[in-house]
Amino acid sequence: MQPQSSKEITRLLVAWSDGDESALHQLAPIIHSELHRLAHHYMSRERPGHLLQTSALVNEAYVRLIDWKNVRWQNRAHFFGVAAQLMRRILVDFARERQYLKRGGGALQVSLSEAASFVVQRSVDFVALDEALNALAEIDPRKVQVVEMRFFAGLSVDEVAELLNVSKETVMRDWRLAKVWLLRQLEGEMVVHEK
Amino acid sequence: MKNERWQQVESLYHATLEKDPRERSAFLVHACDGDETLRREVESLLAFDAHAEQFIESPALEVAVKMMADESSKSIAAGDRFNQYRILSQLGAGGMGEVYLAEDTSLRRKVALKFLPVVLTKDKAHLRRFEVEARAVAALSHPNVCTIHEVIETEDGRHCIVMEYIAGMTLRERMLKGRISINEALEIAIQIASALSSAHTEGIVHRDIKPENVMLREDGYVKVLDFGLAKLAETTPDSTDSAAETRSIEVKTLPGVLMGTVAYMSPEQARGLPVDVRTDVWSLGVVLYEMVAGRQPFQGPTPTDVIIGIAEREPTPLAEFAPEASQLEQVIAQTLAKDRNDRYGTASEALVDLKNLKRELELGTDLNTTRRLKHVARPPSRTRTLALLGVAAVVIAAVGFTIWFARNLRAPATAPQIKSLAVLPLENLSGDASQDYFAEGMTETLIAGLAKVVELRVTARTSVVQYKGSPKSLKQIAQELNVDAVAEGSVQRSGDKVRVTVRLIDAATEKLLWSGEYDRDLRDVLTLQNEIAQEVTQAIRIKLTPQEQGRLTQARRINPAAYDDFLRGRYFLSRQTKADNDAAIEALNRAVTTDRDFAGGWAELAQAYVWRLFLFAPNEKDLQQKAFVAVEKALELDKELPEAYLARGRLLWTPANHFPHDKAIQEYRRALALNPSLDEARNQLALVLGHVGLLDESLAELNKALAANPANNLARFRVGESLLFQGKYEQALTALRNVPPDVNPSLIGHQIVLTLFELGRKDEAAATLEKFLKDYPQDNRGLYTSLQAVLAASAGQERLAEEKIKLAIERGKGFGHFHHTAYHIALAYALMNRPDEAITWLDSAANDGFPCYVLFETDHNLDNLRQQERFKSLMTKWKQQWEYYKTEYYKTVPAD
Repeated sequence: MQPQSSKEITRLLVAWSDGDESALHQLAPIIHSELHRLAHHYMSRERPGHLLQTSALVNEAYVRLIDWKNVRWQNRAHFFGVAAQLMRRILVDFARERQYLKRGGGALQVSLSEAASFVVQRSVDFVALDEALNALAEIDPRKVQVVEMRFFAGLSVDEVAELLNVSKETVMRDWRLAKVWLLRQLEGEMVVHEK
Repeated sequence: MKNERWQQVESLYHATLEKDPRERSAFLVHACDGDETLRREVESLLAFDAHAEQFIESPALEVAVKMMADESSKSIAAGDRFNQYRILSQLGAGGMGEVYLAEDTSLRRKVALKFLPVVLTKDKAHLRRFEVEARAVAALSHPNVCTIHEVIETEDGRHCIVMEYIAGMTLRERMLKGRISINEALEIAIQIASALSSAHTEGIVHRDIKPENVMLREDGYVKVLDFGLAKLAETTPDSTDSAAETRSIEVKTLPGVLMGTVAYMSPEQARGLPVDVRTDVWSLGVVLYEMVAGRQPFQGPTPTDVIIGIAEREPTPLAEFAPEASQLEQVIAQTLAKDRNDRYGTASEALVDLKNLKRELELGTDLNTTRRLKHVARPPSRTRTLALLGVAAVVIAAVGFTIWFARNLRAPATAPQIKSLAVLPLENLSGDASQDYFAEGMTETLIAGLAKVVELRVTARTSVVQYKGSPKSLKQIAQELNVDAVAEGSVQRSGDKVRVTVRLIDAATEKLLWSGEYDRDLRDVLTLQNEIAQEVTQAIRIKLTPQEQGRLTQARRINPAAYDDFLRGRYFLSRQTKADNDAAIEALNRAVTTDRDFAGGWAELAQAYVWRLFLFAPNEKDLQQKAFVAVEKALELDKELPEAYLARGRLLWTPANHFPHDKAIQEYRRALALNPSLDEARNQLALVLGHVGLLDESLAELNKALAANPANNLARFRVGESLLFQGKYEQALTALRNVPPDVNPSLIGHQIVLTLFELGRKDEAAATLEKFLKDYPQDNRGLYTSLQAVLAASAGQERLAEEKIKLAIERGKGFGHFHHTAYHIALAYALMNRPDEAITWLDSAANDGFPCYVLFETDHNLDNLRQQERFKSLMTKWKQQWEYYKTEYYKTVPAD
């Protein structure tokens, strides 16, 4: 990804939040190529003791993609909300494509236990998570926002608290309950599938 | 529905979480005040709380990245084959590659295959470094280290670690399931420390000890995974992207970074400094703390906070989470010291303290109690010097029936080459002669364990039993058995406990090479067997192959009563009378009834049936069925039981099955690959090889059988027989005449007659023949009668010859093993110059299990047939068969 892209991305994000759907189609390839770049890093550099490195790189990518420090944005909360939603949409589409290609065989997996190398991995896919989030939005939209910001946009509890203008404790409680609710939703579905 | 109901659920959920777990249920009932729907809703959410801890903690981008990274290796499916490995299913995926469950089709066992990401193995220099490390890990051979069998390169250039398959759960999963007691935590920590200690001795640093890398097997064994893997992914300083760049980012505040892994890093590791064994000591401390406290010692909302905690903060005292854990503080302090110079110098130092602690807790007393132990050579020490002197030499004392083993004697620097050894009958210290079977059984158990080591020739029990209580010197015994070293010792049993002492003595110098003493629960006898074998091989510096390591680590617990019956059964079985055989079958049946999953018991039962079938009841169809069932049952439970393959070979190679030589060869080879010292398998293999004319091979096997068991007199007979078939008559005669008298004389006799005949000593042949016929007048195989025909034919007494042929056929009728008689008849007809009949009988002998091409080629009595077209074409066919069996024989020899 070219450094000058971050300004471009910010522009596209703004355009998209203003309702310009075509901005999404320009953003998706940029994020995809960023994913490829990271994947390469991940495989070549990651080592067990230094998972942090990948995480750092991922974070760096978030910073670059969303360039939050340089955003002179009147409503930062709104901007990040948009960026998080956008990440959600692109990543879910990305997973859906793969899922379609593999006819469900290789759903994008979220590992519940990191590096669970010898254990049958309990996993859930992005597409199902997306649906579960839609269901959660019916009950408690703020929790969906928290999940989007934390999970899809990679923001910290502090950052989310600041952006949503609530206390850290509230974010942590929201985050905890949201995770539990979503997991129950997903596992319940998995049980149905198995029958 | 962001309504009151949901708010109610939410606030109740958080309120309940604040309560002590034991009080939650009561609190909820009270708070819901009869509103069952509400209670159920909150409870069902609470049920997921523990599981949700790691859920979506890594940011989505990271998850997507990992998935992409893994994609390159996603094309592996069940049924795919890589070398001898057949993929069964996927086990999981982590940053370091995908893991599959596979079957090793040659050894018929399950293994785990870990495919390394291609990017990591692209750099050849890097890969080689890793392979060196992997070999070092493979050589570790420690019961708590997940065994690496080998690293293979697939046809498409991917690299894959073949390792021990471990069924169980990770320590992480165990933690999620519920609180771990202090005792359990200590036991797990001890086993991790034990694994680390063996690695540290070899200079291997794990670098990534965390609950995800620790597997708990159902039988209580803890296995540490991914030793050496950290090395592969190590970033070289000259990598394209500057490390400084990433490091500077690491230090910044990072949102949403994986908390799991950072938490186990040592301060030096988190700073990106070079690490040594003490980084593992730290991580072990973190894991121990987490097991006991139920939380990690260094926590924080962001990884940076965690890292700051690691570098600067002292963890909350354990007693605040578990008051009973105050005794652990000292160990925790010495593992979680910020300055690594203040930590235990190696894991083995930590191990000593952990073991002491566990013992103290078990006894609920102070260390004085250990004085009850009479074998404490040195008090447990935590001084660094001792540990540095030799981790393997650390003396660990434990009281009661936990482990006590000493390796106070290590192999000297110039260790003599020990390639063969004999285990002399262990002394029965119980003072009760009725326990002799137990001592004998334990002797055999030790022999069987050591015999798993391919490089080591171990003398069979039947050869050492004569030295029980012998006044001969060890040196003399070693000379007689032609071994480099002798092991001796004693067994004492009390109830379900057993104490075994073993000393290994160099035969040449009579110096003590190694000694060990073990106090064990009889349930763990199979593990003990492996352990002693491992320690002995270590002491004599034999490098175990990964396969051997695999065999020497896996052992299940066993029911003591079943094991007792097993030893009794084996004891009776070794005595080979019909009454003993009855008793053996009875005892072994009891053993497998008590413990249905006792693989060794089933194999021994199969052996007992086979002997019965061969010696006492050849026509009992029912018995054959029973024997097959026992064999299959044994192999279903354990694919690595040499005795089961031996039994199966013997069951297969029968007249009723038309002697399937190739199948039998395979079975025996498999048995021998697992236990090269199993002389009976060699003897049987040689028997088959002799029948198909692979005589050099047969003799080679027999020599090995005799090296392992000089008392295998049947093998001595077969040597003579093979020499006879090769046309080396003088040597054959000497060999046959020197077979000790305990081998059935009629078996030897007919080959002596034939040898004498071949030598042209016809009168002698005739006299010997008549003598044997007088002793065994029934001649129920017609063997001697057919030899009478041969002699008559050669003397020109055609009518007498024909008469004898008729009689031989009559006598041999119904007797399955008729092909030798058929061969004699062919000889008689050839000598009478009646080629058609001769060739027909020869063909019949070959078809009935005796296609001994080399014999047909060398036996000059068949010379009359050699110009016959039919003979020529049959010989061409037999030669092809002979070549086929030869390929089969060499094909099945497993790579050592």
